[in-house]
Amino acid sequence: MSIEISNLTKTYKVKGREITALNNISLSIKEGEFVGLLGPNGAGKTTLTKILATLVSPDQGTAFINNINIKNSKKIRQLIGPLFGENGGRSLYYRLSIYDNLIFYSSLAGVPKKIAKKRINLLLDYFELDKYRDVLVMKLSTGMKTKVLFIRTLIPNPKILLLDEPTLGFDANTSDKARNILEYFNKKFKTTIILTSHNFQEVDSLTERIVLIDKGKIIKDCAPESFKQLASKNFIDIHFSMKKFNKEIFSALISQVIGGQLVEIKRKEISKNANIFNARIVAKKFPIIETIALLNSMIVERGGKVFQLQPYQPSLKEAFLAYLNSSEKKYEENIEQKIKISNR
Amino acid sequence: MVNVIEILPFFVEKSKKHNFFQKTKAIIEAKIKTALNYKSAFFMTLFLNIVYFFMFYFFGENDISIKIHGVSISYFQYAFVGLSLQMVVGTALASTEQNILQEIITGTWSSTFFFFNIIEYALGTSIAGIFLSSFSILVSYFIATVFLRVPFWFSLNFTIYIAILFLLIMLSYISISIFFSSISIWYKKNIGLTKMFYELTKAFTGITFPIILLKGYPVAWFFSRIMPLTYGLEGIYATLFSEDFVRSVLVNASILGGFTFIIGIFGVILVNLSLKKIRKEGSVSIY
Repeated sequence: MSIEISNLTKTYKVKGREITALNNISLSIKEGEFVGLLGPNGAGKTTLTKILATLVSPDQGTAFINNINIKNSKKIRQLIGPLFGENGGRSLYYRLSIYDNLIFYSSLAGVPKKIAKKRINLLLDYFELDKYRDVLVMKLSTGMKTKVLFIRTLIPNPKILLLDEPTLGFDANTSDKARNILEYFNKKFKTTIILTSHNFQEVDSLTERIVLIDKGKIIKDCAPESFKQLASKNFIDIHFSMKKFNKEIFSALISQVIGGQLVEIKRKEISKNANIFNARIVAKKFPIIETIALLNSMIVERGGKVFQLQPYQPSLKEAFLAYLNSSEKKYEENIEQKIKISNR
Repeated sequence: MVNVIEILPFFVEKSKKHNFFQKTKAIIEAKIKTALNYKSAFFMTLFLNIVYFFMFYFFGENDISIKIHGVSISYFQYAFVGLSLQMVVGTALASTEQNILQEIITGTWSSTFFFFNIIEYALGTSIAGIFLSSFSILVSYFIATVFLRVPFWFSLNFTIYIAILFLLIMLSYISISIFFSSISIWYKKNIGLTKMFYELTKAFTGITFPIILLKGYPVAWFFSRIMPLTYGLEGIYATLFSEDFVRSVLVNASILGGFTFIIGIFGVILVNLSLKKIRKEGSVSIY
């Protein structure tokens, strides 16, 4: 159940302004792939998911699911299971119980009643909702409503799952269960899954491929490990000591003197004569070797000592955040350049 | 507590293709269950309908008699038919459009849009609504015949003709509701057309007085002639009180059928255009 997207463009008109949500993107997803969609807010991730779910029509370009054009929405909707977690459970009937909602949607999805009942009972038990089965949805918490949405999406066992923030509001235990079941569906049923999430741990552990979208364009399309390795070329881990230390001043020095960005700093030890810190820094302006040299000099000149200084592989979240900051800065620099050229 | 391994074997069987009758049945059941969760509103509506009947009964006690097809009947006997139908017609008229508006406001619209086409949705929500509001007719008929001892005469022959006319009246108002839905979907708000049409229906279709009285008033006469219930009531009164009722039933049923067909097709086309518009705007799920 493959997905082929070609030159997809979508523009929204908001109060006379045009906002490009998707800008000529192309993407190929093979059957059984588990793909993570990452990007800042407003990047176009939800628009892409809604286009594939046939809830939004593109302005240009085509998309095919299992060689069926998404314009044939009736056939496409029989193949896919969309979940939009942003709704916070609002796409459930408030005055029906959990069980009645799930039976209703199972009927619509063509699941025979006997099988639907069995699947509902098992999933309610799995997600620890069985004792709330007869409770009206309006009495549930946000997390519980999202669990019901999650269960609703799984019941028909669709060939393709389009999950947009599916675990919003989940506690740690439920997130684990959700991850487990998605993994099993992907491996056992070869379900193609597109997962949009700001839960980086989830994306990192589940997906075999991440697609980074920013301002409507695909910026990176690679395995999570590759993305982290690319980012690790710029990440430095340092253990150092300093007698007098101020975080704001240190951060400003990192930015102005060595052209980097302080990602994280932790106090490791407090002693009479000096404090020992562990910091993570992203090299931006200079190559990493030069940045390491500058960093070392900067700390020593200010009476500090460097115990350990090495590149390190960031987490997916750190890599993503660092990428975002650098792309924003490039965007701002581009704008400044354009302003300078136009003022000449 | 089950684990994932225990769950998976039950997901092997594939789902069937989406089925018109299964989906329509599912929405009928869901809407009835939802309505029954508003128990106080349901019983309040039933109570108010009964109060309405009593109002017209006591009005009729003013010794007003009406002649229909040469037969003299009491005012209440005349009004009872129209009053019973009025409530159910209101439901048929409002069901599709009001339910869609409700879905848009509460957030279930994108799911509805995903699973249903407009005909499945219109039939499902209307049948659910008509079923529930039919309780009003049955309770009112029971009260009228048992407690108020108002004589009605029905035979099986009449029942079949009345049933056909009733079905066609419902279908015609469902088709109008589909038409109005297209406007609600386009603008995502209630612009009051349903209420206006319902009030015109109550006033000018022969519910509380024979429409022959409107003949000297062109505007009122025009409104009466464009309302499907006018033809439905003409057919029903002919069935109940006229010997030569078959011709009247055929003529009025044909008009109702034609109305349903034309407005229905037009309504479905407009709904699909509205749906295309909201998909293009990306506004299927905004609140």
